[in-house]
Formats: sequence, structure tokens, C-alpha cells
Amino acid sequence: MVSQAIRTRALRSMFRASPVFALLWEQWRVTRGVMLFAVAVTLGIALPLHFAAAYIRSPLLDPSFVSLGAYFFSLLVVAIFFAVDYSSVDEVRLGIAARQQLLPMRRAWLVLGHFAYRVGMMGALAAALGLVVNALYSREATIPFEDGVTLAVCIMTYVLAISWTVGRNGLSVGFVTALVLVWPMYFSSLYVAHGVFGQGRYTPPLLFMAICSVMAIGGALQCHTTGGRTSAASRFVEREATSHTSKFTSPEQALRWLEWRRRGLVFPVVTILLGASYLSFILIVILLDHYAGLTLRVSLSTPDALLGWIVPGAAIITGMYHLFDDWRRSQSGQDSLVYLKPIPFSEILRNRLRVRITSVLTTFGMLSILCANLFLIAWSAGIPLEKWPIIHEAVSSIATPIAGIILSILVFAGFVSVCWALMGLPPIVVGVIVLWCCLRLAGQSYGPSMDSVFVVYGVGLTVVLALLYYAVAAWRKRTFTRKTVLVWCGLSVPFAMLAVPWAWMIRGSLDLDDVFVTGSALALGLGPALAVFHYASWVKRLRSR
Amino acid sequence: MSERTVADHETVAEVEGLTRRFGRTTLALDNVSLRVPKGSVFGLVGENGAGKTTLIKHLLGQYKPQSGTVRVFGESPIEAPEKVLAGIGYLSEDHDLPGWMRIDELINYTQAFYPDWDDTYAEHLLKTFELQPEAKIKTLSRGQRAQAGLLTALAHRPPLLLLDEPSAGLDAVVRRDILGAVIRTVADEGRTVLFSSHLLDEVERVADYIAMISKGKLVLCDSLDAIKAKHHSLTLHVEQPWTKPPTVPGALAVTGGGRDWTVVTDGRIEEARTAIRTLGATILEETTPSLEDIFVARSGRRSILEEG
Repeated sequence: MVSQAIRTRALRSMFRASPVFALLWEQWRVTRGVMLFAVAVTLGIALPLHFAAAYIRSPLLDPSFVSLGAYFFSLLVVAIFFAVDYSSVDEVRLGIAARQQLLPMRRAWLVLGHFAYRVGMMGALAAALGLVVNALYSREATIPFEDGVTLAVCIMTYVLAISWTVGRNGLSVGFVTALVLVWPMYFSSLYVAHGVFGQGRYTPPLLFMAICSVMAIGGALQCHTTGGRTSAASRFVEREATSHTSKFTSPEQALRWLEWRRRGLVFPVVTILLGASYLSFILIVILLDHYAGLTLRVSLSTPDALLGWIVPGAAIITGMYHLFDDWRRSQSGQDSLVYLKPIPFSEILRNRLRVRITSVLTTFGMLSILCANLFLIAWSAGIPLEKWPIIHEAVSSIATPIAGIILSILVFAGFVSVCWALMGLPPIVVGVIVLWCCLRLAGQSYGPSMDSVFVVYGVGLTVVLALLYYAVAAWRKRTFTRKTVLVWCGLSVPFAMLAVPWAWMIRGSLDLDDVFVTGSALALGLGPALAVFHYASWVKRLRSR
Repeated sequence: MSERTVADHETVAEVEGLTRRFGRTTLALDNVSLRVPKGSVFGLVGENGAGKTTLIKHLLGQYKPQSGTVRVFGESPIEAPEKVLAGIGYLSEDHDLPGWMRIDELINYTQAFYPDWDDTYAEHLLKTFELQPEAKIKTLSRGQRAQAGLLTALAHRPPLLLLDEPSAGLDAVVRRDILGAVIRTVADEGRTVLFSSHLLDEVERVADYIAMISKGKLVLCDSLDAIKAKHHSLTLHVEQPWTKPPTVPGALAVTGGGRDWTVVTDGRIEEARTAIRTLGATILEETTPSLEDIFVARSGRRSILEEG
């Protein structure tokens, strides 16, 4: 008890002596949970998966890929948490907790304290995790210690640059600003890499970190100075882009405007931002690999593996956005701006779908432009694309960019519609992951392996869990409603259609590749049909619960 | 004192045997039946969680009746939402307007759905409430949000105005604005206002008809005049102190202690008087109770102070 009191007194005196220390201590109290989470994910998930993958010996479940995937996933979670580690929306917008902004200390110290803590802890965490991973795995499967730390700090500064930039109140404007600024960074990196500023091993990433840091600190300082208000430029862009002061001529027009303003604008911007971030890191890896010789020595170091994830990755991001948005609206209850207006339900649904399709087209159009930029930069930098066969094949196999866009849209439509169709089911996360695997695997050739079994059983497990859930729920409520029957049928049909070729395959009449192609095609084909039926009834339910 | 009854009038909304459960344990509405007469101000009163908002949401068609029927303008809000909603102006309890919208955008958006939208009236309300058209809703105070919501609910001159706790958490000036708007709405021929509130003095000031809901049950539904005529408050005095409340026929609530007691009765005044005299008490005063007294007596709950 006494020692506790002494400790408390000692802490108090330290806080009195140094407000920055107090700030860092509070940061530690707030974020230590997520740091533990990162360690738990890397060790708790990566290790068993690593050994499982080593046991299965599948080319797709490469042990090094699994361990590095967990490593980077943990770091990314921590980075995102650091960027938005406050509960109130306003505080997230400000970047720094409101109560801390009231502390009697200089703004620069406040911002620098937050920045230094986040970047420092991220680096330390990366180093600690890197040490653990290096100690546990064979040398071939690990990431070089210093490269891991460099990449982690790059990620952290980039995330902070985005979340702390000028348009905090208009997040979309901030994203676009960050997006626009990121390309000159690459070109600068290229110049550096060509030896204009000397060919240091870490020069490009350090330059990248420096630019991101300036953006982040500048953004936070400006935000703090203006009390979280949007900058004049951001206000102007936001107002010009979104306001509608002329009269609407019809309810449909008004509804479309609302849907677009509320969902359509955020959706492409967020997707493009994430897509751009993704592409950015691919480019960093390419640059590190090509110029600085800073290879990661694992599957992640080959950009073909990363590039292959762009379309499913974008589909997942957008699908998740839709799911989250729909779920949030269903949780918030009725939406008086839409459901309490005297318009037929079919109009609501029609306009909503129309806006979503438009925003999807915009998203993928812009993503394609970003991809094209990536190729252009790589090409102009003299990077031989043939080094990465999948990029080469992807470029040569797609006759025109339009075909690529259409392909992307089809994959997206299938994915999102299946998500809609399955929305509300408890094992939805499992389903999404499994579907993701299906889509990923469907386009590749491989021999029979345990991966196939994993995916098929994953789909089966998801469907069985979903059916079980509905059966139990219906039994508990003693209601076998039309909806229950509909969901049962809706889930049973694709499941049966997956199970039949699977059974056929077991008999030896069909090989594994065909199962995946069939399964994925069925999912893509049945998804929209299910979605139209299920989603329509779901939206209708929002009007009258 | 004229005693109009609800059944005597043409109704704009009619609820019959409405029951609504949330989950297994919560019975939000229990066999509620009421009619809202055309051209009236209908006050819905009840304690928090009594079921007022649930009832309003049924009228709006946001909840499907689990049993019973709901009809507004003679139509089911579930089966013909467009027809019903076209004639309703609604202000929700939490004034759920989107923070990102500007007031002029909100007005433009809302007017698109109502062919009868009155631009002049909207402009007039905008000036009355001193709202800046270019202001974003998220920058408005709670009172200003309520005013913005009221503007969009009123400007299409709806035959039925539904206000769910319109003045909760608002200052006296905004409350006065809202009440003024309600009265003006009623002044327009044939328009009806249904509003829920737990500010009983406010309800008493403007309502013609009152429905009282307690724990999901409709305990009272009549015109304000009839309700007041039915209830009496008797102040008693006894020579020898009573240790427990007396039993009086028709008494809804008996409060007090010792030699002085107050009894609120439900209309059987003669029986009550006789019983009080039989008990040896003197009636010092006989008054018409306030709506608040009636509500407290009807809800059957005593305050903490009384219990203490």
C-alpha cells in the first residue's frame, strides 16, 4: 500500500515536471491493449498457421507468407488504431483527444508528442515482432529485421499523413489530398533511387517517411490551430462538390441526390484511397527490390503476388463498406429522410441500386487509372515487367483496359451481391473469407491439394452454420416465416450446387479445378439473383418493421 | 362545459386492438384502441417508456401491427405508405436530421416529395425561427434542429401533424415557437395535430383530446373537457388522525397523512362524498384536478418523497 502511494507520488511528480511524459504515459495506457493484440495475433495465429501450412505443403499456403501476413496484418491494425484511437467522432476528426487539446502546453509539443509516440511505438513493435518471428522461423521465411521496422514506420507515417491531413472535417477531401500528394513522393523516390541525391539503401523510404511526417504534423498543427475546422480549400471543395441549392424537379431526383451524397461520394473515395495505399506499397516494394536491393526474400517481395490481389482486394473493401453501411443503417432504425417520404418502396430500391451501380463504375474506373499509373511509373523507371510473370500475363491477356474494368466490375458485383444475399448471417465473416478464397483461387491453376479441401469445407461449414442458426432461431421464436423458408432455400440451392460437383469429383469424374471454377461461377451467377430477392425484402423491412 | 366525445367526430386516425411486443418480455402496447378526431389537437401523454413513440411509429407505418389494426386517412400505413405519408408532417423525438446537410438543402430535398409544398410558408417559418439557410445542421443547437425539423414537417401543410415529444429538452422560447406553430396548424381548417409529451401543463394548454398511456395500456382517452369534468380533487380534514389512507369509492389516488388528505376521484363524486362523510371527515375543498394530478393518480405511481 505504502509502496503504491510512493509510486503514485513519484508518477505525479514526474507528470508535474514533464507534461510530455504525462502525455506519453496516457498514450501508453490507451494503446497498450492493441499492442498486446498485435503480439497475440502474430504469435497466436501465425504460429499455428505456419506449422499447419508447413504440414500441408501447399504452394498457396506458403509458411513464410502466412507468418509475414500475420506480421503485417498486426502492424496495420496497430497503425489504424493509432490513427483513430479515440471513441468520439469529433475526437477522431481532431486527431487528438479534446481534453488533451485543453492542456496548458504548446501545440507543437502536443502534436510532436503524439507523433513521436505513435511512430516510435510502431517501430518498436515491428522490431519486437521481427525479433520473435526471426527467432521462431527459419531464416528463409523471415523478414530482415531493419527492413521490417522501416516498412512499419513507413506505414505509420503514411496512415498519420492521411488521418491528420488538412481536410479532417471533410475526410473525403483529406483523402483526395493525400492521394494527390502521394504520387510526387514516388517520383521523388525514383529520382533519389536513380542517384540524384545519392544511392543510399534507405534513402527512398526515409524520404517517403519525411514527406509523410511533414504532412501529418502540419495537418495536425493546422487542425489544432483552427479548432478542427476545415481549411478554406477543403470547405470550398466540399461545398462545390456536394451542395445542391437548386430545386429538385422530382422525388426521384431528390432521392438520388441524397443517396449519392450520403453513400456514393464516400464509397469511391474510400475505396480509391485504400486501393491507392495498396498500390503505393506495392510500388515501394518494387522500388526497394529494384533499386535498393532491399528484398524481403519472401512471396511478398514479388509484386505479382501483391498485384494479383488488387481486384479481390478492392471488391472486399467495397463489399465491406456496403455491409457496414447497411448494417449501420439497420441498427439506427428508421431513416426518416427516405422511409417516411410518400414514395413507393420500389422507387427507394431502384434509386439506391442505381446510385450504387454508378458509384461502383466510378470506383473501378478510377482504380483502373491508378493501376495504369502504376504500370506507367514502373515502365518509365525502366523496371522490366517481365520479371513478374503475372503482371506480364495480366497485361497481355486483357485485350483492352475496358475489358479489365468490366472484369473488375463483374467480380465486384458478384462479391457484393453474395454479401448482400448472405447479409445478417452470423457466420458472414467466415463466408466472406471463404468466398474471397474462391475468387482468388478460381483464376489460378494448381494441382490437387489440401487447399481445395479447405475452401470447399469452408463454404460447406459456413452454409451449415447459417442454416443451423436460422433453424434454431426459427425454433426458438416458433415462427417459420416466409423469410425463414426463403433464406433456407436461398442458401440450400447454391450449397447443393456446390455439393453436387464436389460429390461428383470424389467419384473421380471431375477434378478439383473444375469444382472451384464451377463453385465460383455459381456463386457469381446466383449471388445477384439472391441479392435482388433478399436485399429488396431487407430494404422493405426497414420501412415497416 | 361541452363534452364532446371522440366517437362523435370524423377521424383521421384509428387504432383498434393494437398490441406490440419487443422480444419476449417487453409489452410496448397492449390492446390499444383510440381515434383521433379530425381538426383536433390530440395529446398523447404517458411516462417514459409508456409506448407513445411506438404508437406514433405504428401510425407512420414504421412498425407493422403484430395484432390489431391501424388506419390513417382510412388507409393502412403498411399497405399504402405513399398515400398515408403524403398527408403527414412528422417531427421525431430526437430530431434525426442529417448533420452534413445544410438547411436550404434540407428544404429543397423535402419539398421534392410534397406537391403541396408552400414556399411562402417555408420562407416565413425560416424567418420566424431565424434560421440561416446556408447553416449546416450539425452546427445547429438542439432547439434550432427542432425548428428546422418542424419547418419541413409544416411547410407542406399536412392534414395530420405528428410530433413526438416536440419540446423535450428545449428552452421556453423554442417551446413557445413550437406550440405557436401547432396552434396555427390547427387554425388551418380541418388540420389535425397529434403530439406526445410528458410536459403535462403544455398538453393541457393546447390539447383538445387526450390519450393517456401507462405501461403500454390506454388508461384514458377523451376530450380534455370531459376528462376534467370526470375527475375531482377533494381535500379532507379529520379530527382524529388516520394512520392509513381511507377507502373511498372511485378514488384513483389518496395522498396526505394524519388529519389532512387529498383524494382524486374518477367521476363517482356523489358516492365519494357520501363515503367521506360516513368516515367522519370534512370536505374542505372540492376542485378540478390538473392534468398532472390526474396523470399521477391514473398511473398509480407515488413519488419517492411520498413513499419516504
